[in-house]
Amino acid sequence: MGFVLKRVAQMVAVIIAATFLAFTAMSYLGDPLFNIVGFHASVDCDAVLAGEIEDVSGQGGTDVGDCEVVEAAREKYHLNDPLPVRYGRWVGDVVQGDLGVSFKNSMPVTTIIGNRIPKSIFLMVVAEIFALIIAVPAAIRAAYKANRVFDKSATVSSFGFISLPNFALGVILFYLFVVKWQIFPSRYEDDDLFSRLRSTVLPGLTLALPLAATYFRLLRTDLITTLQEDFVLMAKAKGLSDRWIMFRHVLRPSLFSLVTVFGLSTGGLIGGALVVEQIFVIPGLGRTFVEAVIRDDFPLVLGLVTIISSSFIAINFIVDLFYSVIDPRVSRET
Amino acid sequence: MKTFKRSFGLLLVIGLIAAACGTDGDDDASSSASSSAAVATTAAPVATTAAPAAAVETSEDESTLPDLGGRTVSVAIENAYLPYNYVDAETGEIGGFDYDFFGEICNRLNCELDYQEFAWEATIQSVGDGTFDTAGGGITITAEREETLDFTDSYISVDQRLIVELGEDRFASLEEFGQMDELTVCSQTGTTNAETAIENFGEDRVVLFETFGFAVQALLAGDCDSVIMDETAGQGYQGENAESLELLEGVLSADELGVPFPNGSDLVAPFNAAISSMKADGSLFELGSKYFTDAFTVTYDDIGDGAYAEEEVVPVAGGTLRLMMEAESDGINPTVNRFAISGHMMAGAIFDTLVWVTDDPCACVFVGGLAESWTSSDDLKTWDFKIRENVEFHDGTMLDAETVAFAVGRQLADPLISLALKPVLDIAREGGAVEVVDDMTVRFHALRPHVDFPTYFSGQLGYIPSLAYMQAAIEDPALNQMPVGTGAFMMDSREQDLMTRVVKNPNWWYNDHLAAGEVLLDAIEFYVYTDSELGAGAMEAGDLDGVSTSSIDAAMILRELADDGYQVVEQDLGEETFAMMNTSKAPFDDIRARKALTYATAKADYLEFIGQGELRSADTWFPPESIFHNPDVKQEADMPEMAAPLVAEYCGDNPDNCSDGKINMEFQYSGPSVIQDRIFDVLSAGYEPYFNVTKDMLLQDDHITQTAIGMFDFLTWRQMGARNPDGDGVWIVCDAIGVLSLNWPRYCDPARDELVYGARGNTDRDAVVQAWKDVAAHVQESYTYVMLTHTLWNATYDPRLRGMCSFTFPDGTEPYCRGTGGGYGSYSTMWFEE
Repeated sequence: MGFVLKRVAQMVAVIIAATFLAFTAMSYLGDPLFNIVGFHASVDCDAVLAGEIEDVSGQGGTDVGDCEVVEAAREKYHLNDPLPVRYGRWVGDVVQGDLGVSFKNSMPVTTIIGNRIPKSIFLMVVAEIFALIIAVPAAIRAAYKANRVFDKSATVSSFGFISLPNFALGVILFYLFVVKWQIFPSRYEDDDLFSRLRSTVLPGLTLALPLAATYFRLLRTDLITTLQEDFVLMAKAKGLSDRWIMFRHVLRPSLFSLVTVFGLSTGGLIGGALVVEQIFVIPGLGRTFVEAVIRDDFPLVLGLVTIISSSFIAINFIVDLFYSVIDPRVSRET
Repeated sequence: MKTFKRSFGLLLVIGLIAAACGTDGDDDASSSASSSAAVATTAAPVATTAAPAAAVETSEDESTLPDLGGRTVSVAIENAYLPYNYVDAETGEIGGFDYDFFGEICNRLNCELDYQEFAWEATIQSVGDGTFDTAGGGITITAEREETLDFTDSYISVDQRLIVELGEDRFASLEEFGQMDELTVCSQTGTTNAETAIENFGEDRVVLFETFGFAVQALLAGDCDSVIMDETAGQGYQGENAESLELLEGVLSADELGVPFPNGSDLVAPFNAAISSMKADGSLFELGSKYFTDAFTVTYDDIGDGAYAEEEVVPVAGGTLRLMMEAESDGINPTVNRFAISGHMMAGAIFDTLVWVTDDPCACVFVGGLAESWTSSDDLKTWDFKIRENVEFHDGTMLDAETVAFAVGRQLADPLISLALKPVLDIAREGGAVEVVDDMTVRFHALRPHVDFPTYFSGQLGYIPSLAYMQAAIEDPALNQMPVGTGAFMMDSREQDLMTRVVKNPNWWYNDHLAAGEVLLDAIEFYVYTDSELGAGAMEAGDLDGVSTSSIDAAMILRELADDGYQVVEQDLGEETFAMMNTSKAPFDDIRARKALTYATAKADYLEFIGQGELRSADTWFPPESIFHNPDVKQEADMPEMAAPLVAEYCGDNPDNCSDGKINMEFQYSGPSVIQDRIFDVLSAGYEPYFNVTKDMLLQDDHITQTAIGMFDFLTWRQMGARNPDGDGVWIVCDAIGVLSLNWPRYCDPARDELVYGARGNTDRDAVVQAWKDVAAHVQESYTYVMLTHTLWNATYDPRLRGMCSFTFPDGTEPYCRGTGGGYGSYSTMWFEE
């Protein structure tokens, strides 16, 4: 129990650190005011109000009235407060379930994220399933017959997939399966589960193939190592079948690296989703994230950082718990 | 001899037309027919059978002609082939030699004629298999055709002869010509003339031209020694330059025309009898005189399409149009969100504008949209817009003056829009620039006398949402995604960054003015593909029905789709791509630096590497097609040698702004974008010898902000090209310079302003056009813009989509249709052919 509590405390600390970093970065790198009052944000209103700036032509441009609007906005959004105070206020709102409204379109951040997160999760789950379906059987086969033709060719292609960037793989798949053979749709479809699955196959594969390659290489190495353990020799001597040995005795102790990387890879998946969602027109979190950052959409970026970092940490927490399932010694030791 | 023929003969020589029909190999009768339209008038009758003059007497054996007893004879006829058969385009009446000829035959044989309109292509086969009894159209008797057909005796003959220059003395006859191997025969590609020439003189001596006219020109120019033609015996060549040409002695080939029947038809004998009786009594001669001489004046311009007329298509209602957008819009509330192209694409379906602009070269002829009409005070400064009655919003509320005033007022609250309109509307006026006069009248106060004032309400400022909606959207900004307008389509659903769907408005106020009486499409779906090339791929995959893009790479993919029947339209008349300099700070506050940069611009490289040879170079503000284009203004580029002394001079005077003898400057652009990086590389390469170029890539919002507040030296931009340049004035007038500027280069030229404002208040259109030409000259002399290219737009539509440019205004005039659709209700006339 102490283990779980400790991990939860760690999680909260990490989330606070992540959001505070994001909050600080956004405050200094972007100008939240720009999204509220537009161009006037860039004007040195102190100077205008003090009458120091002369209007170039005597007409047009920002005048005192506009700068009053800027001041009002500063007040309203507490932009004159020191950063820690603003962060504290934001955390207070978040705890009450209020992530604020997006500068982009004034929609509540929770609504936007709530709208988009299911699509991204669906995509990532599909990708992980694909990756495992491809990697695990391939690794088992390759490990059995290490250094034979299948193993070698699988190893070579896995190198290929690891080095191939997402966008290139995505565009290749798009060209072949969408344009040329017209097997899959060119964009996300949300009519029913089938159409959602169908339109997620290609983006799922784009994410899954490099991942599968990584999984394959890890699992294959671990399996080969385990297969050389004495207990395997012992099992063989006992006359157990290869199949029984593999699935009953070898696979489970060989899963450690895979499970660890599985947890960590969700971070990479979120990054990969940015690109893949653009190519396959999926209105998921990735696209929203990129646009929010480009637009300095303060509340939305923070909301996304909160959600993404929390889920990343949560997944890895679950992975940690899973260690003890794979190997009961893990929980006993802690 | 000639006189004899003219008097007694009926040898009919019919020009290229007959030649076209006289060949089996010719599968495109209509094209060669049209190419020879001019020749029709040169045709004249000549004797085929030297019928004795005495034969003019009434035929003694009329009584001996067979009697068909009222039998029906079916005749396949094109109705598109002069002078044999045609339909008068205006009256719809049929006419031509065939009708008179067959009519006279059946008159004599007692038969009924059943004319059936049928395309030439399958005529021979269809007569052969008995689908028709016979056919019109001047069919040549050939051995090949005689395998499946039985012909009557010849009733017309066509001669092919050579024309040569008048006074040709190298040869005197066809025979002599034939022996001189170095002499050439010219002809038109794909005609029987060409075949005959090759048969007679061999391929090496035959030179082919696209049209008969070109061949004749070549003959006159001495590039040909002769031209083969279908001869009008006795009349010679009567086309252009007839006075300097003559016919060469001798006939190359004489094609005989006969009436075709299926093999073994019992109609051949009676028809032969009738034809010979017509020859005998001179009626065939009379017919020939009527149709194959100058007396026949009908040309291809006068007739309809006959068997080739497209069936009148009745638009079918229904279907969903799926369009690509290259970007997503923040929202679709015109009073809150600033629309770029994607915003306008959607808003064009949901909203109507107060004012519509017609397809007029100056874009200065307006038609009432939501504003039924307008009047202005004599000084052109006070404008009363009468709002249309009985216009219902999608939420059931009605349009009125208050709504319009509220909508315009909301837009003016946007700092940038109000800045843009400061030189136009009297915003500082007490009581505001917009007033409600009565329920249905809104008054606008213009800052200056303004002839084309309504143009400002033909775009985003003219979109009017419902009042209840606008007020609700202030409270709940989420409503900006679900606008309520008056347009042909109503919002149905919207998922940002994926798809926005609008559905047909069954109660559109404009329905009564539509030919179909209703909006045809059920729905339009706008899909966001931020990568246009992938969008083009989606189009190819059948996931989209329409794509509009300015990406050259995507355009190249889309062009290939034309082979599959996709409708591809490209135009580069709407927008210019250019770079500009900030004249409010060093170094470009000095015209020497501006000139040097302009001269050093690597435009040729830009056109090659960025334009990929597909983009037209822009020399000034307007494309050459525009009435406002000033051909005398041509910006210099690719002249680095002229930049050198200017840079040396500038750096001598301003050492602080230079290092290593080069002027220091920042090159700002919007990114991340591969194409913008490439543009930076290409242009910088040209500037490097004279300028120290620092790269300054900014995100788009920052890019625009820095531009507006004048924090840049040099940057690339895309703008201008409004069809009515009145709206472009805001980019150059002194009034638009301030802490925030829309006059981006911040260059104030009072003389130029006078021209712009003078044009604005001038009712003399010619003077306005001249004023803008002068403005272009002033702009050029200020060296503030580096003109690059006319932006090319590609619009590609599904093969089945129709009615993209069918929308008409109530008075019958039309909007300007770039083929890109959208806007001004043009979605309402689109439909899918089954």
